Amino acid sequence: MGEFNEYELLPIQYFIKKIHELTVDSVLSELPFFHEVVSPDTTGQEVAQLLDGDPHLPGLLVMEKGELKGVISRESFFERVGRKFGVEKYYTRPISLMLEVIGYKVLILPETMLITTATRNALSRELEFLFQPIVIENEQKDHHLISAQLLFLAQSQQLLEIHKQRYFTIDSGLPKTDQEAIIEFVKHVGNQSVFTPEMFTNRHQIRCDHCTEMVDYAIVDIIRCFPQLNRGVIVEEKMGVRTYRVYVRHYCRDREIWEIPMQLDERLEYRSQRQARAVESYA
Amino acid sequence: MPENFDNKLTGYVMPIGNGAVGKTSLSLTLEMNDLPADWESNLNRLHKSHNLDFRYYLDTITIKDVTYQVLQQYLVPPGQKALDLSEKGRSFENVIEIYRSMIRRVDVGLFLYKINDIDSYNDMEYWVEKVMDIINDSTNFIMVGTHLDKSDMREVTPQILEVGKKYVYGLLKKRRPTWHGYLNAIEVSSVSGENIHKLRKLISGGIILASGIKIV
Repeated sequence: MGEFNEYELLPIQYFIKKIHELTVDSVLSELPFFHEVVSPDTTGQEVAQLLDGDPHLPGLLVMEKGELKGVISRESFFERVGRKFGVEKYYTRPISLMLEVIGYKVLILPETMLITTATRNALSRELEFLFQPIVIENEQKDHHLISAQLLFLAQSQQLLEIHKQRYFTIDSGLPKTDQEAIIEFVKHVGNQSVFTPEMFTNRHQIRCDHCTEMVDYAIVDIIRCFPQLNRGVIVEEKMGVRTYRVYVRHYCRDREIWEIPMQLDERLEYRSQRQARAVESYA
Repeated sequence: MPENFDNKLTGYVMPIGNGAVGKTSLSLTLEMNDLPADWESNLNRLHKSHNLDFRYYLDTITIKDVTYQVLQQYLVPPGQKALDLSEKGRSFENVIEIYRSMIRRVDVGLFLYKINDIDSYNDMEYWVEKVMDIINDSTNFIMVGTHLDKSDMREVTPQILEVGKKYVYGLLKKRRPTWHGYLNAIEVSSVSGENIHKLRKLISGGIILASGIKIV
């Protein structure tokens, strides 16, 4: 059995649960890795036993005297063994034979490499080797295996994070001045003479029922959160009164973006709020 | 109590409003002679209306030295809107369609909303439109704010209500130009019983006025 990090014996679902902890700056060492080593003389049967013993193992590092000779991936091994006379051909012979036949040039990447860059490298491989595990190397020249599936999964999570950043919050809105935001609001709702600049810039607080924290906001912050203002500021005219339904978006628990639906009166003063809800993501 | 057969009246009262605003519980409270001291035990009598529920209350009211005995007949429809596809069961529109022939008239319409839920108040516009074809020119209306015991969470302020009352009056007049009823407003609590007695008297007054009796 080789070395494993904290994800070692846990199923992939566990990693998926923790995957939201990755950021756009995450590097390869943050991914779960494997370090199952065999010598070039190891027989195919022994390799089969090792792979059968751990269904999460993406493959094996083939090393001789500390030198990396190659990688036998789960898919390649069973694909070869599954061919006609595969068992007879490989089970009793050294695994180095299969390495030669496969002819895969191992992709070795430093563990400090960004996941984004690593994914690009991995995807640049020949089509038949696209899903082969990637070898990462640390400062001590130790080698570990990373499953291509997990690397791509991590990359998709990062893309999601980048996508989420398009959902601006009251802390990180569009780069608009207060005046620009006010003009946009007035244009959206119709010229209302009741407005004063202070109504937009005065700061207020509202409690998020999800994280129970007080959220500090001004109307201009809300306006800056929505590239399409009609998604964030909805004009309602009912019972002879005009009201505005707005959504206060903030970073809630686990850095997720949540929004608190709120109703404002004609003078943009608080009237009521509703249960906070997670901002729709594409996950 | 003075008995005078000429002053015996029966009036039909219909509470209207969104689901869970308190139509059933209010009609239960109004049906009882005493204030709901044992409110908790009444809770299991509450249910979601899928049909037209019937209740009644016999009230006496004295106006200008004349005592009237008023039988308040409550017709409680569901609060589900026809457009609300997420709900199961009959909608208000379905029930009205089914029972239209049985609803002789509506003397008093109660527009119910929760004072701590502005959405239920705003939806009154919807309900005004929906009752237009079952009312008559002398139907009286009362805007009833429920959950008065939760006034610390109030979303419908007196200022909002003032504007809304004028708006509903205007809407009724616009939709039915010949309408000459009255529109009142009151806030009540079925839990604490606050203003329930006043509401009963308002309803009885509404029935008397709708009957065409001239109160000099």
